[in-house]
Amino acid sequence: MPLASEQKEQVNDALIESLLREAFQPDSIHDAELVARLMERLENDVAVQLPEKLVWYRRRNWMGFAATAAVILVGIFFLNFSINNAAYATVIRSLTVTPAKRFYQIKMLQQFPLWGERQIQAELYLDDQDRFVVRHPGWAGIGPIWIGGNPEERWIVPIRGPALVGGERTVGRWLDKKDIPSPYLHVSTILHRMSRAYSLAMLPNEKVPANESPEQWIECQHIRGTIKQPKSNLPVTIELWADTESGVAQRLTLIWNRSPEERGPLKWEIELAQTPDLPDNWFSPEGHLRANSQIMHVQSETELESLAPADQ
Amino acid sequence: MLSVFLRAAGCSEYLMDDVWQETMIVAWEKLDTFDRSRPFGPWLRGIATRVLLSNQRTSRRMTLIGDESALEYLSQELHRISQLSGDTLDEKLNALRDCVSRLSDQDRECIELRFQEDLMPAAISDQVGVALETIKKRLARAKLRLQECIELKLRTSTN
Repeated sequence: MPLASEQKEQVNDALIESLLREAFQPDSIHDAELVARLMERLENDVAVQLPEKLVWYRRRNWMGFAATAAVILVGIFFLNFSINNAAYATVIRSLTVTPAKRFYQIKMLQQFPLWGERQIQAELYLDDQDRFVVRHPGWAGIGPIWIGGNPEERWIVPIRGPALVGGERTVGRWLDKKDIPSPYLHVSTILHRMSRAYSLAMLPNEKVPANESPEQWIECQHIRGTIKQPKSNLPVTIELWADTESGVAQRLTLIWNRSPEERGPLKWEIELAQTPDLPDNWFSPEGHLRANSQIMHVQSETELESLAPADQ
Repeated sequence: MLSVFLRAAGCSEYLMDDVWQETMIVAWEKLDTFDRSRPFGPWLRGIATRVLLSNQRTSRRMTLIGDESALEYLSQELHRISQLSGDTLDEKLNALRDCVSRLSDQDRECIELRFQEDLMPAAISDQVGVALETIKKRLARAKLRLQECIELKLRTSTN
C-alpha cells in the first residue's frame, strides 16, 4: 500500500537526520568494534558455518583478526570504513582492552584569568563495565569531590550536602562550570574523541615506567593526535602511550591551546598506577557517601545548582 | 549505510548494536540466497527490517517510524542516496556536507550545533540566545532545504 504523504515526510525527516548524524559524527571506531564483535560471535557460534578463508584467520591474534575481518566484511557487506593505519589500530586496541579495574593518576593544570595557573592531582578509577570514579580535590583545595558515572548517568558526592545523581548532560554542564571538563573524565571517551576528531600519527615506540615497579619499563606504542578542526574546549593534541603487548593505555597527555586571559584546562597528564583494592560499591555514589548523607536524583541543571553547595 | 537505515527507522541507540549484529548474522547465513544480479543494500535492509519488526514485538524500547511499508520506503530512499557520486558512504555524504555549506548562516549554525555538537534544541536556544520555537523552526526549515538540495543533486547525477 502506498504511503500517505505525511508518513513519507516523517520518513524523509528521519532519513535526513540520520544522514546528518553520520556526516557530522562518523563513528568509524565504533564500526570497527561492531565488526570485531561480529567476528567474535561468528567464530564462537557453532551454528554459523565459517568459510574456509575465515577459519584460516582464526590463527591470528585478535587485532589482526579484527582488521582482516573488517576487510573481508567490507568486501562482502559494502561497509564503509577501513582500518588502514597502525596509529588508528593502536587506539582501537586500547579502547577494547579493558582490565577489570584500572587506576590512573591525573595531573590537571588549569588556567584562571586572575588566579593564574593551578595544578592539582586527581584520581581516576575505571572498570570493565564502563563505569568511572574521579576524586577531584577541588580547585580551591577545600576538599575532595567524588564524581562518577556510567554510560547513562553521572553522580557527584560534594563536600557537603546530598549526593546528586542525574543525566550525563545535566551533570556534565554543571561540572564544566566548575572547571572540570567532564568529557575527559573517562579514558575511553578520550580515545573515542581521539579517533574521530584528531589526525593520528605513529611516533617511535617509547618506554614508560611500569606501574607495579617503577624500576621496570614498559615498551609502548606512542600515538599523537592533532585536532582536525580546533575548538576552544577541545585539546589541540592528545598523546597516547599504549603497552605494545597488552594494548592498555599507560599514559595520556592532553594539551589545550589558550590565550593568557582565557579560563580553562591547559594540560592533563593521565598515568596508569597500581590499582588498590577497592570495595564493591566503589563505582556507585554509596561508596563515597558520608554518614547520614542522602542520594538525590536531579532532572535539570537548575535543580542541581539549587542542591549543590555554591563553593563547589 | 546499515547504521543510517537502522537509526532512521527508529531503532533505539540502546538496541542498535544488537540489531546490526543480528542483521549481519542472518545475512551471513542467508548469503547463498542472495541474487548477485541485484543490488546488495536493499537485500540487507530487507533483513534488517525483519529483525527490527521482530524486536519491536518483543522490546518496549523499540518504537519504529512506521510499519513494514514505511521501512521499505525508507530503504528505497536510501538506495537512491546510494546513487550519489562516491565510492564510500563518507564520500557520498560530501554531497550533504556541501548542501549544509549552502544553507543560510542561521540555519547552518543550528544544523551544526544539533548534529556536530550534538546539542538538543533547548541547549541550542541557550547557546544562540534565540527562543526555542525559533530554533525548532530553523531546524525544520534547514532539513527541508537539505532534502531539496540532495534531491537536486540526485537528479543531476542520474541525468
